Amino acid sequence: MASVACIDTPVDTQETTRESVVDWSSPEFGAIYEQHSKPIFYLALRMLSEPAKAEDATHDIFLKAFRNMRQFRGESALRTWLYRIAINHCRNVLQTWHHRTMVTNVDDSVWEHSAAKSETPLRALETAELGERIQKTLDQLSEEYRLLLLLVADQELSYEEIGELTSQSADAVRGKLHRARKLFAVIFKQTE
Amino acid sequence: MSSSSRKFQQRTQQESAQEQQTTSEQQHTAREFGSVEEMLQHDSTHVVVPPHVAARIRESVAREPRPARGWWQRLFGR
Repeated sequence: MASVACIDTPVDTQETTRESVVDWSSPEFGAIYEQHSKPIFYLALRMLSEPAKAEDATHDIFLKAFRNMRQFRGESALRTWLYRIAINHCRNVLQTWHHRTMVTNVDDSVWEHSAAKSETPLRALETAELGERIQKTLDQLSEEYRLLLLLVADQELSYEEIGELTSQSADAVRGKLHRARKLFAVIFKQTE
Repeated sequence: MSSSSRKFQQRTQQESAQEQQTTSEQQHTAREFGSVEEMLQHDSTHVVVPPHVAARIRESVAREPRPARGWWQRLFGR
């Protein structure tokens, strides 16, 4: 993968959380991009459902990060700060997306009686179809559930950080995730 | 054994071998995930950020004005 700037040594996440360490000079920014672009791109891809939109979003998110570097005070991890910019950006894109009214999210109640189906393991063929099925499933979830599942899949984020990013308590995150997982499993099986 | 029946037997054996191979390939490629997170993590490892995104960002960042130095930085030459 091409990098923004040539730098050999990877940036340690803990080291980059303090403003004094991150000077945001170009090579430093390149290293930050190298380390965080993949999870940010993945979030944008699965939130916006289209690779081209995800590419544009990733560009805009990192440019915003570059422009607002002085606002990063190291109170949270750099990854969390980038996610915050990414979430706001994706929400803006989704709000201005003309076809958003055509997408109907599945309501929880629809799946109440299908709960048993969600308890069996998720099985899929290991092909590109898996990505398509995941996307189809996420597209049917509410924006909140989709976001929570994508954030919790990033092992670098704690429930507290996810709560911070989605403006709710860690307990609320746990509760909603429980429902989001069940709903995902039920819908996923229907995409077979 | 006639030539046609030998060919038929050979073809049947080939088809049977192919079927077995296909079944075995499907078994190998089928994957089970214990949780949604595990599935999404697996999915994310197969997603690659296109290299031209990095190039676009590099160009955009290069066009950005350099951040102004604070008065204290100018005064103390830092």
